[in-house]
Amino acid sequence: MKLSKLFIAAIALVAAVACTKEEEKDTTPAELRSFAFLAEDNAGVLEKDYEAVSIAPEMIVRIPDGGKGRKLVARLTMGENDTATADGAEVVGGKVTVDGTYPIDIIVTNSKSGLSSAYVVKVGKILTLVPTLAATYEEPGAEMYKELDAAINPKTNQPYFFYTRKTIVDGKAASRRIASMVKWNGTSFDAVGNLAFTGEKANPSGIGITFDGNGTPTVVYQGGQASNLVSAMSLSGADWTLLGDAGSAPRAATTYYPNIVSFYDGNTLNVLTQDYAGTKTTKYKGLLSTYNGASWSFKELEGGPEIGGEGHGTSAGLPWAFKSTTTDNGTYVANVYNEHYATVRKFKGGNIEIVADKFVPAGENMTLPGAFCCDSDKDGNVYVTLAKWNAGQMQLYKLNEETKSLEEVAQPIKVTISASGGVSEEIAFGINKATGEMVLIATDANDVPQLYLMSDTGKWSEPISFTEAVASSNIHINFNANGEGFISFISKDLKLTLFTLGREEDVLPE
Amino acid sequence: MKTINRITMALAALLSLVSCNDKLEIRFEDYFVCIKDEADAETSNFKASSEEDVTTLYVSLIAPPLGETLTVDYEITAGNGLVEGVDYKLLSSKKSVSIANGVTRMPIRIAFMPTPADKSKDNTLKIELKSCSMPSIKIGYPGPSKRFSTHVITKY
Repeated sequence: MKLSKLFIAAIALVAAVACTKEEEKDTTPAELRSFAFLAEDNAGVLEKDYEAVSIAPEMIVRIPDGGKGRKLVARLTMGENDTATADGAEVVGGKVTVDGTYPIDIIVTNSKSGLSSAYVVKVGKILTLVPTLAATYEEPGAEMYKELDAAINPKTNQPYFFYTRKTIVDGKAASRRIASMVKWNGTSFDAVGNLAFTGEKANPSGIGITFDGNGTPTVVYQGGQASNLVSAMSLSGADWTLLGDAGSAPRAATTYYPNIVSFYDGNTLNVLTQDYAGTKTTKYKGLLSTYNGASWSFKELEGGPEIGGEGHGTSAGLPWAFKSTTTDNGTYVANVYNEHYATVRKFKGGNIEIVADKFVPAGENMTLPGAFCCDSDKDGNVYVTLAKWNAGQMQLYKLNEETKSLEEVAQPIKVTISASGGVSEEIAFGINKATGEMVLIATDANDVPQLYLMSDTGKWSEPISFTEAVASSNIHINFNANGEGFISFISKDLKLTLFTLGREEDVLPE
Repeated sequence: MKTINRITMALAALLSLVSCNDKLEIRFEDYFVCIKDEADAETSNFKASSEEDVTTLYVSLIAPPLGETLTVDYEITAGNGLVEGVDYKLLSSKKSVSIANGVTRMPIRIAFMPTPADKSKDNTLKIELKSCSMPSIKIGYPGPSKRFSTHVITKY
């Protein structure tokens, strides 16, 4: 009996101290799910839609030219039972007009829980690339010349520069040119191996750099140790070493306008040139020379038109210019046959495939090896620029491997293209592999580079003029994997001139 | 005796199992609102520039969710060196902020125009929190000084 009384008392005690539960409240938070400026809501202001990449308490939405001084219609989506205000104005039907000049304060309220969430949207400008002079360079004891090639070392992301120069002896520049290489370390130029290493038998021309899989630079050039023949050298420690004998790679060379392309396919160095030493029918055909580390092999490139021919000049049909770009799918080499057409080949694993052939720009009867460039984006899409000779324009094309054609991209740009006396009207074209931004440079009548940027609506911008004039149309645009851009050329006063391409200053509403 | 001890122990064990797991209520003596700039400061300096520039202050609510919107009224007093519409403008027409239930702070944005500051004059702008729609919410930090009930911007 006593035990049962104690037990009942225990139960009573527990009941007395047990927690009292509160009534459950609706605590559903209010939630902004999207914020955008749509072209259809902002006709005349926007050509495409721009949306916040992710929703956060503070967000930036960037539009061309920014939001300053602009009334914009914003489109919002919220949670199921949510309503919203923007700067105190009700969002109706998901839309509200806002002033992009100042931060936009958004309050989203859940009608069931009564809870609200606050967000701030700042309308910023899509930041474009701007060139900034980084440095100029003259090799000590030498006078620079106007030949230059530039390439990014894929292992270090540094730009390398291969150039020709004349040694100064007794205060005078020698007549013979010899080539050297430097690289940019972020603040100054460092010599790459010994300088002036290509020999003194002939002036080097058609100079080019490539890198093997370890980031070791290899150079190719006509002249140097062997007149009118092409040699290749690779860096070994501080020394530059010939690959095979001088002039053995390849056996032939071009005439007065050498254009040589080189790249590594695995461990094999590939070099593309005209073939000067062939028969009359093969003479001036494209030649592929490959070096496997021990010896050279040669192969005529298939394709290409008849050389000369009725109604054509004697140089018509020459595989006058090669440009290449390497992607994960292989190396693509674009080739312009003078006064005829363009062909694109893909090189991979020793195989060569023609992926576009006999291409002539629309409205033209032929193309010329001027205004000719090639590059690829991070997705492996290949782009080629070609001359519209009659129209006096450069047109950008995107390779379509399925249809084996080149498709126009953006509007053409006016350039100067000469059909005689040697084609020197090159342009520079590059694609930022990190962002996909496209950049193009064409020189004006005073040899001053004009920079064009591709907008996010697929049009070239108005040109931005440089301050330096160039010694030749030999201009280079290179982007490394980090998205750092470099523009290089030899200036009229014969200095290696380097600009970096950086982002313009960001000014956001505060 | 043994039986009573066993029961006592059993009771103690039972109590420990069912004891409240409610959170301890931490009660501030006062809930309050305060005003600070983005650096959490009571005063700030603003350098006149060549373009219109906006400075943002925040009215913060230090309290759990109130279950309703809190309206906080404020007053702006300009020194004799600043003229509204000439040297500065308020981006909100109202002299109050509404802090919705669940939100902890709201901004007061003031645009300063690109006019130079006359150093011989008083170029201060004082923003003072005056009252709340809920009288139980205090103005400024607890204590006699009521810190952060006012923010002073000096244009120079």
